[in-house]
Amino acid sequence: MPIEHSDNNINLRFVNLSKFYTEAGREIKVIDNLNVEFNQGEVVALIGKSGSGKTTLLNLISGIDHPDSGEIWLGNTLLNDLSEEELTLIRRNRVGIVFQFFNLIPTLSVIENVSLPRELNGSQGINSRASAEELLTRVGLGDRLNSYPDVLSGGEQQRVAIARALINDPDIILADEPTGNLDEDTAKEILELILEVTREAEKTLIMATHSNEVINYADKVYTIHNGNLIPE
Amino acid sequence: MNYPLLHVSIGFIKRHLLQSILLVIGITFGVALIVSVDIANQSASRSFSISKEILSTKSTHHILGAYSDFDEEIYNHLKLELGIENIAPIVEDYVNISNLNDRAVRLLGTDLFADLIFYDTQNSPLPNLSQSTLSELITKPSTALISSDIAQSAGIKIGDVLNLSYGSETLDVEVIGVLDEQDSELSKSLGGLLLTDISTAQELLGKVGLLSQIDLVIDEETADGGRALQSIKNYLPSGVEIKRKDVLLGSAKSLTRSFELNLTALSLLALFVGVFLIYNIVSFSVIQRRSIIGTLSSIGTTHRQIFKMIMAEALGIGIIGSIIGVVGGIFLGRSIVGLVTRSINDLYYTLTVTNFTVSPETIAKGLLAGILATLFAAVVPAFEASRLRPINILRRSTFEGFFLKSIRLFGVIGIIVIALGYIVIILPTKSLILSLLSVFLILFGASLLVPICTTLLMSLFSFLLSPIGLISRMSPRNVIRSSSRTAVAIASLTVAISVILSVSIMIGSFRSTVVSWLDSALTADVFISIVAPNISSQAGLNPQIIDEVLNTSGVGRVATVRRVLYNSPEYGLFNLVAVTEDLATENREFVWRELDNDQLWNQMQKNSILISESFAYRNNIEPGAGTAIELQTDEGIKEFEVTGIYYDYGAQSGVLLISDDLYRSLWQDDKITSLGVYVSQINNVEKTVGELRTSLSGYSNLVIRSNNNLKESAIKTFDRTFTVTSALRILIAIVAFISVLSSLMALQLEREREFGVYRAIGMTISQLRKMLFLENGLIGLASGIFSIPLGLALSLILIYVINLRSFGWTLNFSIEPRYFIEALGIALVASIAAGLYPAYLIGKEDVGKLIREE
Ligand SMILES: Nc1ncnc2c1ncn2[C@@H]1O[C@H](COP(=O)(O)OP(=O)(O)OP(=O)(O)O)[C@@H](O)[C@H]1O
Ligand SMILES: [Mg+2]
Repeated sequence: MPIEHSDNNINLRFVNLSKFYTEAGREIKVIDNLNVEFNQGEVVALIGKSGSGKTTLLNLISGIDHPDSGEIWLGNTLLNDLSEEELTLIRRNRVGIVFQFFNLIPTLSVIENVSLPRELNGSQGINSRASAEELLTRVGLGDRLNSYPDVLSGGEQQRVAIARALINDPDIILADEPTGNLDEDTAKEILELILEVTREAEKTLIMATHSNEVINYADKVYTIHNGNLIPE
Repeated sequence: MNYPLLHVSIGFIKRHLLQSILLVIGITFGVALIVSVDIANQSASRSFSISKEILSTKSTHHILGAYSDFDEEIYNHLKLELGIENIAPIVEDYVNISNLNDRAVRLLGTDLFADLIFYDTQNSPLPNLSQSTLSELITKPSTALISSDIAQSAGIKIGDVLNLSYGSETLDVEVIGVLDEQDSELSKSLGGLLLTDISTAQELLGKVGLLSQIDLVIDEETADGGRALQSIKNYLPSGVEIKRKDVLLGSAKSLTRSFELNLTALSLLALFVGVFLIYNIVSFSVIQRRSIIGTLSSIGTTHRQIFKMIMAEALGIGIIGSIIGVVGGIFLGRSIVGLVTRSINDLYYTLTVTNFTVSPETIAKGLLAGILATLFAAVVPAFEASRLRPINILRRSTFEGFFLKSIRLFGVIGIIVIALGYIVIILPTKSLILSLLSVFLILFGASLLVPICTTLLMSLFSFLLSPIGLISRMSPRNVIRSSSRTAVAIASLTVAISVILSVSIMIGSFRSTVVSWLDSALTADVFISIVAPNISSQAGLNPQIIDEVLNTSGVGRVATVRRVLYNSPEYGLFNLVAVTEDLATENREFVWRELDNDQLWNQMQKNSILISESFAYRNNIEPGAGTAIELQTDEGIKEFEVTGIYYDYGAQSGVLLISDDLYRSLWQDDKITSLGVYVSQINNVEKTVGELRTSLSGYSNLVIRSNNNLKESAIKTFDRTFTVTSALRILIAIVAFISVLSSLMALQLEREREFGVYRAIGMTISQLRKMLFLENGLIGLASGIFSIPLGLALSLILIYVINLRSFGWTLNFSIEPRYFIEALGIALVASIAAGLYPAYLIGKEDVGKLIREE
């Protein structure tokens, strides 16, 4: 049940957000009573030690994981209230995800991988193909439309993944260590590409990363520590 | 394997107890199938051969008449003049007990004192009887001992009277003792036996002064034995022969051989499908612990150690599964024995399997098959697992890529193997083993062809489905992508379904052939026959019954049949059937004949005969004039000219058809086995049956049936014969289903991450399930499609090669669309049903867990 919220410029908001895991009877607070807002078009870098909760936070935003308490607002939508099915639709249409290990579908060609989230909406053929082709040209793979992922380099695969994240024109892009699996030079290229395309399209970008390079490009930098987001 | 690794194994098994149990169940199933069929086979053939051995376990030779009984003077001469020791006379045949619902039992008359020498003291049922009972049996006429199974099942006590009938003869005997068969090895098949003194048996069987057989113990190796044997051979008149027991057993056993073969083939097929099953389950359990294996290898466990660990585990589980399987198989065997016995009774002999035998070999076979199959099935997954490096624990792409590259090679090998199978079939031989071998080569070759055919078919589907949308296009590609799993699932389903299909076609063709043969062969309106205990019985009716039948109102003409089992040195066991004109040539379908009907019959009156197709096949008699057959008759050896070969599906042993007049002139036998009655008015058949029942009520053991009635019961018998086959067919389907289930579960486990990605980028659970449903449907469809040509090919081999070689019968190949719809249906239902559970599980999985990057 989406509930109206006053400030239209705010794209993502956490209200008293908490998430904990119980392991061996002990409670681990990964996210602890978080209250943060992000504006439309902001580029946010999340840094923190391994195990600090970066992935957990991104998963909460995409509805892959569920909070234990508190609220997550995506634009005017309160995620807490949504069913599994509705969360899936949010992921499909309003969130774009870029993974560390690219996660392309091996049985689909490059252009089909990009079209897939659009086709899941039931829109078919020309329309999704045309948009996918446009996006692939944008990320520099206009000549590899019909290749399969296994013949692409890591950098090329990540370009495809970026195009896939953008296909349904989402409000927000989530990237979990998108360069973590690439060599230094390629990492830089990909990083620049992500920043370029998200700024161009005025998307909010939340990127978990170890790379200090990002800090120079980001609008905001947060460090996760003990379940809190500490602004840099 | 070292201790810590053993710990890892045990820890894993403990944590995944359910899967380990499933694995054990899979092996159990396969082994149980093998063991139970083996038990059924052995029990039947063992009982069969023991019942031929009668009581004397130690006898080494039998003296037999060429076709029937011989003079008892031969016995007296051997014993008194030639001084042969260790010799016992026997008169035997099957009789009916009228006051026990015409129950068929084996009547055995012997000279008990003479026979005693043959008994091992521990094994004999006789020493448990008192001396007075034995002397009473010999001195008091019409007394008998019965086997304990008759006593128990019919509630017979000592002192009761049994009304025995044999053809037209009847005799009341008093039961004076029960054979005590406890713990005796041979007693296991002594069921259904009635033991009398020789003269009582001779009287009832109408064989006064005659013997059926003489049992002897002769050691051919010794000089004395050799001399005795020679003197017996010199003395025996023509038509009476002495034969080694093992040789005789061999020829008698050949009758049930085709039946055993039927079962053996099915059990081997079950093993084939069972190995698929075990392979799938073992690989499933390996996949489940990819991460453990990955970790082990990253901390320095060598490939060899991992390989050994998995093999050792497979061995352990194989042993447990096989042991349980053997036990399960013994229980399953018990019920199959019942079915088999019934079929054999219908087909060949009265056989009572009172107890069933579980030989050490059967157990060894089951254990070995289970353990070896498990180890064999574990080799590939174990190898696969030992290759897993930490980096690609989650990716099977290395192996999958290797598999995809190999499918062409598999295809080529498959074609070569199939070609070999074809060559084996067309070899000019009658060997059944070779024809079975070719079935296996073809099945194996076809399994190797499955991956490439799957790829081609799925590409086609992908093309056909592409207009519908990306998701429908993805499914066939996913099937190709996971070939190493899907192809195994498709292959196991294809093999199982093609076996089911081919057996359906064979039984269907068999049935339709028999039905049309019955229509043409049964020309008379009413049939009268004695309650025949079995086809080997020589019981008959006295000829005066012909007049009694003719005098009944409504009867037009009467035809007669005399059927005797003939055992000739050249042609083995066959039926000699003497018929009158009406039943001779009319309506018969001929493979070949020399003359038209009238001339044929004229010729048969003189010196020619007809033979059945199976007789010709077995004795390599080619169609065409000029073949002559020599038979021992009561008038000496006579030569008969073969003037026709006709189709006959009644007696597996083959039939030699002779005119009644010729038969009666050459053999001293006036008995009749059955009569065909032609009514004077066709719409009065049932009424005439009633009239005949009244006028023949003096005969206690006649069956009077209308044409329709007889046909129905013949078809019922036919259907019963194939009950076992149908039951095993279902078992094979179950094994195939479990096999597909486990390979789909393995596949789904491997693809968890892929599913996580779908869910993360916005595929709903129902979209995911739909996609899987489509994939599983395609797997089923592919199996169904592949099983059609394979099933047809197998059915052709079954009908034109295996069946011909074991029965000597040509069947009309007949197929019904129903079989193919059934095959497709079973394939689809099995694969979709097998996919339901994994699809249900995957929908419930946490997306975060699925995509967690390790
Ligand atoms: N399903 C789960 N069950 C129990 N604990 C979990 C689960 N998922 C995450 N955790 C714990 O939550 C904490 C945060 O994990 P998370 O994956 O978010 O860290 P991260 O910052 O992404 O680390 P990395 O940089 O290594 O990717 C860790 O301590 C982890 O053990
Ligand atoms: Mg992380």
